[in-house]
Amino acid sequence: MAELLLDPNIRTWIFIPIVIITFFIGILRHYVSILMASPKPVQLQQVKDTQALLRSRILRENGKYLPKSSFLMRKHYFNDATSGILKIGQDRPAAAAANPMQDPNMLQDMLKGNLVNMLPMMAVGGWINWMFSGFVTTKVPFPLTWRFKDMLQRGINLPSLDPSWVSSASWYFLNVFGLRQIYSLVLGADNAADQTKFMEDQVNVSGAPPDPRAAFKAEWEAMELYEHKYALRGIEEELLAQFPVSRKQKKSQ
Amino acid sequence: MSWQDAKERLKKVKEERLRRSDEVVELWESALSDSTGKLGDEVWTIYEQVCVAALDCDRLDIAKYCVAKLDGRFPSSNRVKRLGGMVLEAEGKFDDATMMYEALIKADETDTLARKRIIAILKAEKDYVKAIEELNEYLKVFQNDQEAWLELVELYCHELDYHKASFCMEEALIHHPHNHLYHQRYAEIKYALGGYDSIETARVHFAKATQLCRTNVDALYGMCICASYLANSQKSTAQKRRDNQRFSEWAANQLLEKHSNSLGVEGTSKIKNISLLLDNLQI
Repeated sequence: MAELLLDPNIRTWIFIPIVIITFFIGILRHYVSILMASPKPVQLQQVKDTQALLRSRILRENGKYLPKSSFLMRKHYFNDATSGILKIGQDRPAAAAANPMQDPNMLQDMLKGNLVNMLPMMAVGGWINWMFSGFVTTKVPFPLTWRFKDMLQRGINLPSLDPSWVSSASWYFLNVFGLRQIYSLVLGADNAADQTKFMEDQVNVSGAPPDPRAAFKAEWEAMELYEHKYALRGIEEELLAQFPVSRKQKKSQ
Repeated sequence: MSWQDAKERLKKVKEERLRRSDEVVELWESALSDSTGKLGDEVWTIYEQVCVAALDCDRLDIAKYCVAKLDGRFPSSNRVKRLGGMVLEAEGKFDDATMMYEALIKADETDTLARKRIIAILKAEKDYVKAIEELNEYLKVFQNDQEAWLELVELYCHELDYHKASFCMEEALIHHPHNHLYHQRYAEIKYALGGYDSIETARVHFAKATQLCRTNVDALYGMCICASYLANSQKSTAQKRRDNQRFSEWAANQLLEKHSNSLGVEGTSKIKNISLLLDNLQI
């Protein structure tokens, strides 16, 4: 097959503009989402739960440094059959927050998310498709199998064209997903310019929030199984063996 | 000092959580206050830092200036409102400040700093009982806040309630089991509590502190005292008496060794005194 030669005008007016447009739209989206973001209020109960779980874990980890009575006092607080907070946490009725449709705030957040993320993506994608459609813009510098034609040559229907060539519409999508590193370079690590992150968020929203009861149950079990072994038993003997008093310093008895 | 150096220094003070308030205020006055334009967005965190430092040094003029600047930039920020509350506190208007913090807590239930400020106000008003109460409420929710646990230790010790203080100290201890000062503190509280078992626990933790930090002379003295108490206690079995005798002698020898190492040859007479003192302790 004869080597394809591209018009330099394609580079100046299509290849580079697409990169610039996608980049600036990402930046724009970052700032718009900062403007529209409403901080998620943290529920007091939620804080309480996580703190209790964390403390119980720390107790299991380092409880061996406490005298047995102190340890048992704390274990009672967490695991007592009637008043232990891990026990109560397990039996608590499931939180009613499962349905996002009932929470107007959540709905609003989702709407905002859609407004900032989905709409521009579709609009810009459509516009790019309309504006720059039908051009072969660049070539990836390695051979590819024919399966890649769908991915890299969207908008061009040339069965015999080598799959290494990239069409303008596909170049746009490559940019959308490929500019992530550049954004984190320009905007810092936790930016909102990235499309893919938004999609992950969407998946998370649809899933149920993590159930604290399961966590309480797991922690309760771990605490039940934990056996208190005093780590400081015999510490003095250890110390005496570690640092014997030198002969000449020995005090006359 | 150029403003860049001053900025770096402030950052370092902040990162290492040093309490060098006078230095911060001085840096602000000498280097930074004239070049706020050059600082860019960092100027706001610097205003915040300088404001707290100025309150610490009783420089209300600077603190108020910073709050005014911040308030102009972030009119509805809770962080700025808290600073405003701290200025009120510094002026002694505790009621106004409390009201301000209560409004902040109402807006955001998880605002730990505002809650802590209220407790600090109670402490400043010397209303220790109420402060203890509030701090307990706080700790029911934020169970892992060690600063709060340590503060509660302070307050209980102040009220001479060593039993509860020891509980709170245990809490700090399990968060940092390798901090020798925590072990020492816990042992001191246990010793103050008195009683055979408590003093035995105290001895164990003094020993742990000694093991963790070889230069902790306080812990050695503590171990010496506890062990000699136990050696002479009526409740001890013969075996325990022998052991405790050994421990206290070991601690005394360690102390003598440390003192003679640091005093050198000239300190022989002092060493003699210390040795006499230790003999007295062991009775």
